[in-house]
Parts: sequence; C-alpha cells; structure tokens
Amino acid sequence: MNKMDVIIKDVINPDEIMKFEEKYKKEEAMGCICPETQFEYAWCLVRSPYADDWKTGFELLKKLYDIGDDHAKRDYLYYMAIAKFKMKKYDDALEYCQAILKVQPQNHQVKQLKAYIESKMKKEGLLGMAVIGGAGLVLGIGAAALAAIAVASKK
Amino acid sequence: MDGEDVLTTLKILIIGDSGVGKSSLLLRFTDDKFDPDQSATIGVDFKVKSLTIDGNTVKLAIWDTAGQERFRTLTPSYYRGAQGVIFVYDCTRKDSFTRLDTWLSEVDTYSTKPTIKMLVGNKIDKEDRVVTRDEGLKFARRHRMLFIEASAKTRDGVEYAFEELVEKIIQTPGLWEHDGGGKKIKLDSEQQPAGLCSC
Repeated sequence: MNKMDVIIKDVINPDEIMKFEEKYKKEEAMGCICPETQFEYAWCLVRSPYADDWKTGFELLKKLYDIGDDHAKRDYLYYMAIAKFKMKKYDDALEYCQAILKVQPQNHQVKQLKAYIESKMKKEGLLGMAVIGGAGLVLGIGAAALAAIAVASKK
Repeated sequence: MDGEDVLTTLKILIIGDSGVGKSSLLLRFTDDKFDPDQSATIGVDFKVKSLTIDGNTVKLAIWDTAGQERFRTLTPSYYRGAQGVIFVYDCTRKDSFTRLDTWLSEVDTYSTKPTIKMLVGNKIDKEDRVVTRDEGLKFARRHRMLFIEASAKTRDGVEYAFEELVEKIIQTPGLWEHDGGGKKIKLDSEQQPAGLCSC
C-alpha cells in the first residue's frame, strides 16, 4: 500500500461532514464564522467522497489563507494542495507544495505529497508542462506571507 | 516481504499534546532516524511498518495525529477501527501529562472497538524532567495501559513501545482478524528452527 494513496483516498464519514456543516451554517446564519469552524468544515469537505465538496473546501481554505493567521497558513496550503490534487489541478497542487517547501524544505509530509503529484503527472504525461508553468507563481503568495510561515514554523 | 506471510494488518494511532514527540517516536521506529527540527505535523501523517513478533509478521498502519489545537476536533474521525493507541507525553512538561485524561476520554468516546492502550513518557534523555517514572506508571496502572519511558532521540524504549503494544493486541482475542485465510498464529513452541528465515 502506497502511503500517499492511503492519505489521499481516506474518506470521512458523511455523518461527520454533516456535523461540521451544521456548526458552520449556524455561525454563518449568525453572521460570524470562527476561522476554526471554517477550517474544520473545509477539512471535512476535502476528505469528502464527493467532488463538489472538494471545490467548496478549497474555496473556504483559500479564504482562510488570504485572511488567516500566520501560524495556520502552512496547514491551509497543504490541504489546498490536496484539494487541487483531487480536482486533478496538478499544477496548482504542486505550486502550493512548493510554497510550503520554500520555508520548510525538510517537511516530509509535503515532500511526499509533491513526489506523489509528480509521479501522477508523469503517468499522465503532464510533467513537462508543469515545469514550464510552475516557473511563475500565479498565486500571489507574496514574500510577506512566506516570511510569516517561516516564523510560524520556528514556533 | 511476501504479502501472504502477513498475519494481519493492525491500525495504530499516536496521540498526545503538540510537541511531545509523537512524530519523532514514529520516525525513530520506522526509519531509525531523529530530526531535531521536526516540523509540526499537518493534520495526520501515515506510515506503514512490518513487525515480526514470536514468528508472526504483522503489518502496522500507523496514524500519527497532529497535536495542535486546530486539528483537535477532527482527528477523532481517524480513531475508527484502531486496535492500538499510543498516548505520548513529554516528561519535561507537566501540562502534557495532565492532559492525558482528556486524550483518554476522547479515545473512549470515539473509538469503535476496544483498544489496547500504551502510555509513553518521551524525552527521558533531557535533564529537566518534571514527571517522575512513578507518576507515569501509576497513571498507566489506573487506566489499564501499558507503560514505557522512552527517548526518540537516544532510541531508548522506542522499539519496546511498539512491540509490546502489538504483542498485547495479538494476544487479545477478538481484537483483530486474519488478512488471508489459513495462516495460524505460530506459538513459541512451533517457531521455525534456528537458521531458517521465517519471513
């Protein structure tokens, strides 16, 4: 069994998603969503068996990333990468991995994910394109954000 | 290794406060390495390792959970089906020891079947210990857990922690099932004669 297969294919129980969805919707209705609640819900969605959920999960994570506290940015990026991978947006997924590796070059979870994405791309004949495309970071993960992650990782 | 020789696959969880050394214990066990700059785990990590005990090879699927608060509410969704749980605290941090009660009740709430529990007091290589061996042992006894003090840095106790846990799981009827048909547990007396490799 490939380690990354297990992690990527791990699916959350739909009951669990509904539990966190309820919490999220409740806060949404009150007009004040805690970042914790949003993250919990997004993480559930990324682990959902349904493709639509991955997209929603990604959007929620992206919002958290944009406004989020520095300590959590690395974690948001990691699950953004996983969401994009599941959506077969390999270039984006790779880019998120590279953004983390810039500040935590030795992070084995991220290195594993990156290698896994690359092997998938190789199989599907997409790797060459990614190398060219990956040269320019389209994400707008600026130097400030990266520095912030660097601080968080020294914790 | 020949897959047919594997008696069963066991799901093992590692839980405990942030920074107590869960990933370091796992890295020492699976790769015999130690990384002083180990970064905090994102969500959950997963590793596989085969272990042969008394002539029986089992495959361990080990889930290493993040201790950070952000992940706390969701890591229990990984508890399902675990046969063994390793609770880790840091001997030099009292808070990580006192929080064990919370971790225990969480496992009792969310695990779907009885589990064998192992308590590991990590970082005994450090000189500023605040939790004594006796305190750890008493806690383990009170909660019917296995117990060992260990150091991921120096290797002390690490192998033992996993081996003891697996041995106890195998000895507990009803906790696990055979992966393939036909293979019986080898008892000590039936072990392969010396010189023959059992894998």
